Amino acid sequence: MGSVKSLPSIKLLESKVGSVEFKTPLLAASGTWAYGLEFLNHPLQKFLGGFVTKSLSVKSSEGNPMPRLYETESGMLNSIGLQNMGIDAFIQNVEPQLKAAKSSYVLSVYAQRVEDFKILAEKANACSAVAIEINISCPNIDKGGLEFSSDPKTTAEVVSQVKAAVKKPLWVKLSPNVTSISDIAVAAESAGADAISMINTLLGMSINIDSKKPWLGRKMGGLSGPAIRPVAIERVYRTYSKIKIPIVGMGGITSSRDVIEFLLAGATVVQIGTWNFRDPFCYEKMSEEIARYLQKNKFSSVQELIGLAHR
Amino acid sequence: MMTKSALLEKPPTPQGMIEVRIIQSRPIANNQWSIWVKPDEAGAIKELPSFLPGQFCMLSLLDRVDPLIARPFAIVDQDDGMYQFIYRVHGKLTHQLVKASVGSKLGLVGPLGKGIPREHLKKGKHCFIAGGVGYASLMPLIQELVKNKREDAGRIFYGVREDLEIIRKIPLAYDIASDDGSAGFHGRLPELLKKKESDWKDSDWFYICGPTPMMKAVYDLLPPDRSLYFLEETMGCGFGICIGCVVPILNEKSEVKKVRSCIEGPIFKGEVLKPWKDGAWAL
Repeated sequence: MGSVKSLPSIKLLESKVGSVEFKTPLLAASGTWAYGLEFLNHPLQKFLGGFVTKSLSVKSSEGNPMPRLYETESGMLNSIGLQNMGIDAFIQNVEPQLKAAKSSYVLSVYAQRVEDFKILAEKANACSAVAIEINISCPNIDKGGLEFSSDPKTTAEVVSQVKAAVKKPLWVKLSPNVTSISDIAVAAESAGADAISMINTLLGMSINIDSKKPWLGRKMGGLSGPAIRPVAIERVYRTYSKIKIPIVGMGGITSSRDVIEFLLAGATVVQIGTWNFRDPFCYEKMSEEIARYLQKNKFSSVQELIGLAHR
Repeated sequence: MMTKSALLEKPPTPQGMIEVRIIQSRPIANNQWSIWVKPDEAGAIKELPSFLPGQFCMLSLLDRVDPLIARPFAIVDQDDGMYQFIYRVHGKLTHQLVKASVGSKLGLVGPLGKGIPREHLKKGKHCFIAGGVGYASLMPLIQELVKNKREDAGRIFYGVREDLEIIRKIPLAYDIASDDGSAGFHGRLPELLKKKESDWKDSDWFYICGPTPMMKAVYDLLPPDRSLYFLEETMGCGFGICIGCVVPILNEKSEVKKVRSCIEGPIFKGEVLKPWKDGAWAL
């Protein structure tokens, strides 16, 4: 560590999503950083812009049956199913620790009913989170998963209700498992979303040819990892030209090159997901490499990269 | 006897990924390989940290995204700042690892998981029940008895499919059970244990590591408060952030809860593993 000095300058990486500032455009994605406690006082925090919590619900949940992970070619299927401690336990046990550490975090919430989203939004107001991300796109639950992000009208309904209850910037996380993600993003923007997070995992399945049964306990799961990156890049690129609010881009990032690709496609900041499982210490190297790229290409800020591929 | 908290202690969070080089790679038994790794000369870390028996590392193939996810490997031995791992060639990563030449680089995160303090082996009688390559995970405990010249205080029951699968040489009194009868008792571990009950009944502690069906098959024979099961779940990360490797256990209030085997384990006392043994999902 301690290589801040060798960087052209980490200041080049300062980013903003609406009014929210991050020291780098590199955030850890929901479901890949738990509640942020594992690495709370780790040196990597110097390079981590922020993190998004595992999605919290009104009541705690034990998630889906095991096995919950299955690796595919350059990808991973998961069916964790939003196992979480519940918002009240989070506020009581975790939030004070995050607040004390001045952690820059986004609170992710999910619900099966619009009313529960409102309850969660109100509770989120009492947290030190810099923003709230509503997860309306998890493919791993039977109710309240994909249906909230599958239809522009339904999306607008849930977004406007949450917007009315929440006092923090509202990020809406969308699913690629739809006909037109950009139409959904437009609906979310009109209903008051402050940013669009995209993409959640792609619904997928893999079958064990010996047992003749699916590998995952829940049969299907969400595909993540580098295998889905070109899909994510296309969705971000397409959506960028349709909305004015910032895009928080994600899907299969493993290197600084991938981060730059997302920014060029139109993401304002990115979230790193599955790669955290392999190398949660990647933030320093990525920051250094992005700063070098900026210097070499004579950019004075990482924000100048946003959407450049559209010229 | 040790208290619960002293027996299995939570390790500190790893500080970073260590780039290591393969120093030696050789077959140690049928389809099982031993590798020794040491930190790359260019890195800041010159020696791998000390470990507790039962702890593991996540290993990955550097600069490769396929396989994407790192895999857990029990630490078998340590010498001169190097670690030894023993693995069975089984899946995508191990098939590539076996072809990796000496000098190849790997990514290592660890030691991870709760381990057993070495002092625990200084007293009492210890019984080791291993299935296949699960024996490798128990080797650091067995070595500790040897180091303390307490060979008489240990006993090994080792189940294999065939003779060629046995990792030798076994330094304590042992019995083998083989599926095909090519070594020792012709049959499975539970039958062998029943037959040899007088040889292990007076043990103070039991350590069990092997395929999940084997561990479940011996569960009812052993005292749950003095049995330690080394679980080998599929892990996504190894340090608690993916919540993929959960197992259903009984918590202090005797409720069934899913806990992360990488952080709360990978070693669990039999008494909390009843729901795991019964195949509960605890939904």
